[in-house]
Amino acid sequence: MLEVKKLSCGYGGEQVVNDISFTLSPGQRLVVLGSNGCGKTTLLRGLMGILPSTGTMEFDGRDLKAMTVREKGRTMAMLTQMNSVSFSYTVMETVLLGRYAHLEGGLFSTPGAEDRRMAEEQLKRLGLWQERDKRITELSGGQLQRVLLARTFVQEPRIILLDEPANHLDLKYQVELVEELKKWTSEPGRMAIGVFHDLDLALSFADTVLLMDRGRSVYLGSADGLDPEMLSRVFGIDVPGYMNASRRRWEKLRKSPYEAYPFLGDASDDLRCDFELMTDRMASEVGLLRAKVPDEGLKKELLWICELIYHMNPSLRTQLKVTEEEKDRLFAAVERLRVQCGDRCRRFVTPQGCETGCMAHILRVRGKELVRLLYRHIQQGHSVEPRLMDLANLLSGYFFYLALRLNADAGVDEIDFISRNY
Amino acid sequence: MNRSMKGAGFLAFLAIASILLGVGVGSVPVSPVKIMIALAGQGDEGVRALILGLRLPRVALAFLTGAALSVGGTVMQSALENPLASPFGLGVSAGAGLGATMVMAAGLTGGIAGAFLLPAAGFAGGLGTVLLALALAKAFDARLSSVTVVLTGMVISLFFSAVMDLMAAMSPEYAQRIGLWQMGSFAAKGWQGVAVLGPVLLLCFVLFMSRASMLDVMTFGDEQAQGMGVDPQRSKRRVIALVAVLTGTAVAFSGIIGFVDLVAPHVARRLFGAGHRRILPAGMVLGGSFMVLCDLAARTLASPREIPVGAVTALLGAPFFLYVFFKKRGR
Repeated sequence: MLEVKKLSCGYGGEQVVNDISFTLSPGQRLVVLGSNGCGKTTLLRGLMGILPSTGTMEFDGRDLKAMTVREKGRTMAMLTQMNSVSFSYTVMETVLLGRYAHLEGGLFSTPGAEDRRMAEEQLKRLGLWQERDKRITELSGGQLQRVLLARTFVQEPRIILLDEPANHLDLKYQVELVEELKKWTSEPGRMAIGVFHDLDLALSFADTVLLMDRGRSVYLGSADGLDPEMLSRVFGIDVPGYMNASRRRWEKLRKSPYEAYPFLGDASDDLRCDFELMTDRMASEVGLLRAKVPDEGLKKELLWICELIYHMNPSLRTQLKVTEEEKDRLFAAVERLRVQCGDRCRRFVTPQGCETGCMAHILRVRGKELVRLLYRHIQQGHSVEPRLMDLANLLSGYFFYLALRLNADAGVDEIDFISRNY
Repeated sequence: MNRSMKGAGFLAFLAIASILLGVGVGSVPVSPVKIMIALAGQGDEGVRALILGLRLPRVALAFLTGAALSVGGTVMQSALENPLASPFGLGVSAGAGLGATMVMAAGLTGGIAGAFLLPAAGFAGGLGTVLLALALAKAFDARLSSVTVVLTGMVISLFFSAVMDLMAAMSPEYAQRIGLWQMGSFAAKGWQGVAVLGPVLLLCFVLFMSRASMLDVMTFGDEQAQGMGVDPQRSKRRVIALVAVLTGTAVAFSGIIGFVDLVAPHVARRLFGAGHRRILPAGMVLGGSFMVLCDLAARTLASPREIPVGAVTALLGAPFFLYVFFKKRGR
């Protein structure tokens, strides 16, 4: 357990970090957030002992300030970003330097067989074994950062301090780095304190957040409990708005490629866009309204619709909060319905979009059923949320349109078929 | 193992070959066999006197000076995590030069006292300047960051050089002597320099080798060094002071010979990697051998005149350095 009480530090006479206190238990990942110049890196330097500080720091009851630098090196390690290296150590040599604080026998001591084994293990784990004899001056930024990560792991600290370790790294390396660090922290007795340039990356790593504003702590608690308004105040911008905008963009990017909805076959871009927007909107609407409707029958109908939509748009499916039992029942019902109205469905089924055509038709029928239920509800004197009625109309309307479009794209003139058969 | 054996073999060959060449070549050529015989105290009396009294002390001092400058340069570059740092850049040469200039301008070089006074002033000047640079850097920046140290050293260096030039200009009768001292020479120094520099180099070398891992860690910069268990400020202070003693002693006897402290460590790293356990001995042999060969060139190329050895190291060193340093990048 790391206990920091009233830590203050700064440069020269200027106090940059004021009265920061927190405790960290094994397994915890604390991320320090705040705008530039608020003292995040200074705090890390104070913790590491690079800057003189006031206040107390104890690790498992031992005073960190009273430790020798070497003792501290066995407790705490720091991972920073190195943009360039001037000295051409090999990868293996660099990683072995992580054992410096553990070297025994005083002067002239060199890493032993056990140290080498540990270095080998980490190099293999991080996929660097092939590169072990390469000079670090020849590595790419991402590889170099991984070598430094291996060196940090080999140091066997209990606490890792991360000072913007992922700057200038490709997204792939950023994510890999964070995942490796998460894995490391999950081992018994380990914890991490990090400063990240990127808010998304920071929040994906953190389970605990220390929000700093002008050197002081303004929030200390779980990452989930972070108040977006407070974030906006500290950063001086609409943080949730900004994050949502980028998230929506990502969602769109994630879904819009053709492979996102394979069952739409080679349908046009317009149709795909419509489909994405409509299913997204309806799914969230259904989910929202389902919680509000008092009637059990309506609730079930909405759950069913919800599941059907999710069935068509698998990227939405993870959001549905239903029990496994409910899910099984629903899938069985969908299957039954498909068999039951097999003949009728087939009329709306295009050669390349069998599933969707069928599902579109089923959803159209469910929409109509919902409208019918709602009217009966009104007739019985109950009030019905207007949004629910809109949704029901949208459902039957949109899925009728979708089935028509899918079939039209496949060269089946549905209108003609319907007008001749009904 | 195989590679390091090869490396050691190459270094041993280089050292022996350069020393044999240095001792053997001159106005009276002496074959390696004759050198061995003379070393064993046998053979012609004249040859023995030439080798033991004149050439061997000169070659030994050249070797030790080259080795000391190389070791000093290697360690300074690591401690300041800057491949362009050097003891001379930190003021050793300017300080030593100023000390020596003061003695010469005061006309105190005659007699036995003078023979000791000049190296002593050189040593005191070199060491004092580095310590002054360190103290000033510490006053400007309590964390003693490498950039501050390098910049302070550079400024003091330039300032002292200017003072030295001024003094030389004010005492024209000594100007040529001062100018020559500034370019270094191993001529007619006897065994005295070897007797002092040898033990100092040995002691410093052993001390640095014993902290090879620490020096390795320091090359990654103060923050990382601290995170890995090294106190960067304390280590830096000690290492720099020790380098000042070593290189100050070296220039005290030979005068200022540039380039070796910068070039030899780089060549050693190119050939043997960056680990101090390898490049300290390798750099020592490379620097020593290079200096012996440069001195050989200095005294034979324009014979009977002697070229200042500092000019030769720079003339040979600069293109060689460029070749070694950029060979890989140019490809």
